[in-house]
Amino acid sequence: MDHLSELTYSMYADGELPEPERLRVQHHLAGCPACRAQVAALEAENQVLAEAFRLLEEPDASRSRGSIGRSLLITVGSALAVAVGLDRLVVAVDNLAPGATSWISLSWFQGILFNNAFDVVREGPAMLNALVTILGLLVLGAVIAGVLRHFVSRHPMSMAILATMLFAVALPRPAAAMEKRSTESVRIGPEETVNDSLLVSGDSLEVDGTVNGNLIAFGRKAVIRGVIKGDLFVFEQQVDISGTVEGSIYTSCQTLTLSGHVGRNLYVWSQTVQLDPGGRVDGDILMGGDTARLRGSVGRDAALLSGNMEAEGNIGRNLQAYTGALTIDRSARIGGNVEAHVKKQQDADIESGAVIGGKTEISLEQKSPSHYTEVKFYYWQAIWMAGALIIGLLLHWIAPGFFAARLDSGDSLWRSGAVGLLALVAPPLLAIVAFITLVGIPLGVLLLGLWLAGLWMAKVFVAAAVGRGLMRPRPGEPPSFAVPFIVGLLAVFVAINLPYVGAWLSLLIVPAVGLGLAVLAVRKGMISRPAMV
Amino acid sequence: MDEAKLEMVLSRAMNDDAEAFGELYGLFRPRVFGLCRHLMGRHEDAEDATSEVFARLPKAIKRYEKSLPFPRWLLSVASHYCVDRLRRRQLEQRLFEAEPVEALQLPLNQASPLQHVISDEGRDRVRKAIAALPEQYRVPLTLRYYSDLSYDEIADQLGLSRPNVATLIFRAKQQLRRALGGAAPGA
Repeated sequence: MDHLSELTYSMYADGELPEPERLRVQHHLAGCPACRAQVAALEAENQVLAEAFRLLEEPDASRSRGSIGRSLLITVGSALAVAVGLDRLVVAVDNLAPGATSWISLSWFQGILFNNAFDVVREGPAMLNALVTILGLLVLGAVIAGVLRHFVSRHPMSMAILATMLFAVALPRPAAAMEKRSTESVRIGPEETVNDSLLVSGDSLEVDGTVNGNLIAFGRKAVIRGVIKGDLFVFEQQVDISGTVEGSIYTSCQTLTLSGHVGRNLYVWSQTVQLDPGGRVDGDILMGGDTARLRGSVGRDAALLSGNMEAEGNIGRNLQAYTGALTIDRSARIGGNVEAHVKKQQDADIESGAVIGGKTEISLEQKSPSHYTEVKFYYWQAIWMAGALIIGLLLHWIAPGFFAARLDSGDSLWRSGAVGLLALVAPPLLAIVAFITLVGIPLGVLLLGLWLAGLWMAKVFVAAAVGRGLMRPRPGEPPSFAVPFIVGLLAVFVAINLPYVGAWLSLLIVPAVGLGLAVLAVRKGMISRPAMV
Repeated sequence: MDEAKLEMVLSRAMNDDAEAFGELYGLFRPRVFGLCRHLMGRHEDAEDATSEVFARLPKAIKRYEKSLPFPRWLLSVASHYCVDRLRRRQLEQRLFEAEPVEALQLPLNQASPLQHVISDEGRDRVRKAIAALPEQYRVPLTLRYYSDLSYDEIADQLGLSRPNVATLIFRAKQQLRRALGGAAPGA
């Protein structure tokens, strides 16, 4: 007896076999258990297929509706982490190849980063710098990996370009590895030089020699009398630094005593911090803790959040303090402004004889003057919004394609954010390359101009997309551009003026997402246009 | 919603009652979106297509004839739109290439198909495998098992012959089985 083909059975199971053939199959099935089983299996398979197809109806539809808040939250959070990661990356690259990243303006980056972090700290729980750093790097790594995977899977050529770029970046670097030491007590003798970065965990750590990379230490007590060429990360109960740290110090400890020299900045979260008279920090100090005593010298700004604060030494620029009690000793020399936030007027004690180069401003905690109460602020915001509205409407009129990308799911937010991040970084880099070639200067100028315009327009793109997400067109009505756009502008306006989050939104997230939206829209337009013919 | 109520909403919609369209949107959006999601492949494209289908509904509904149940009709409007979009997207490459039918007269395969995969590994895997199918397989498969169209209707919509549709669906299933680790037919 001849079996029939599987295609025939498949059609039979679908109920699609014409009459004569169907009868033939039925006839065969009656006498062939194997084929009967096959057909039964095919029918069950159809059932499963139909069920699998139905899966997408509900969850996805609901996801697309109410998820923008969650996606925004995730995006804000991860953008923060990415920013921290980027910051660390810049510092790391700068350490490996000094000057390579000077165009990024490290202090600007760190300023934003840590001033915001400081604001967060002021509001609530302690922030462990290192934890944030590690998380940031991890998320950054994940994002980069994701973006790479996406690109490589779509554009095989990009793999070659990527490899070339990686070579270009990787080759000139000195080999830098991490050495690990983990014993009860670790000692780097006066004659000893560690050429790599060093990770130490143990009860006590003493450094009399030299570490050419970064030093990362966990334990109970750390004494640094030698030289650390990179950054120092310490998480110990007691930290004593009388040597030199050429990079920055990041530490979370119980007691920090610094009588040595820090080439860059000091970030510390510690119960007690003491900067001894001989101690010197060339950059900024950012600290949170219970008691702070600054008797040495700080090259730039000092920002402190502490219960008690005493300043006796030199501070090159501004002193910004959120404290329970502030004493500025008669021996103190402060180059810039003093900005103190205390509870009561008498908590701030500035002795006569103290030299303060700039203004002294003591604000009491309760009444924080806010620009939200000023008419001027709203006036300028109104002008900004009117400008954005006009430009947005004009652009939509001229080239509606720019607004084609959408922002209504977590995926799209992520994608535009990632693409935007590239668009944020790549043009200035390319412009620099163009400038270097001299011939390319006009191109570089053009590129920079476009980039700046894009940065400004980013808010407009985000506003349009947010507006569209908030106000879905009612079915049956032609989707309008203007009304959702205005709603979106208002939403963006409110969001970028939120405390803490606002700075991140306006400096990083909105530009990145906005640029990404524009790039994606243009790309979408370029792909679909030929097909429209 | 029962038939009578739907009928009322429909007759209101045909008289240009904007609210009625809102109700239809609420009722059928998930199903239309589901179809578009399967057909278009990407979430954003499906969103676009869904909005577009509903935006065109006031005009399109004038063509609705009661001979078809409304959901079925609406899904066919949506699938027409999506197929059209897919065609435009890849104008240069023939989307639904007619395949030789004879080549597929394969010997009977005794291995049980998708079924065992499904009971073990969950429908979500199947859904993902469907999404990963090439368009030329995914579209007919979706029209068959999501929209419940007959081979003839699918052939009509895609401009193919009926045997071609049968082949594409058959191949789509084969590829699914392979993707889900089931024995390849003839193996």
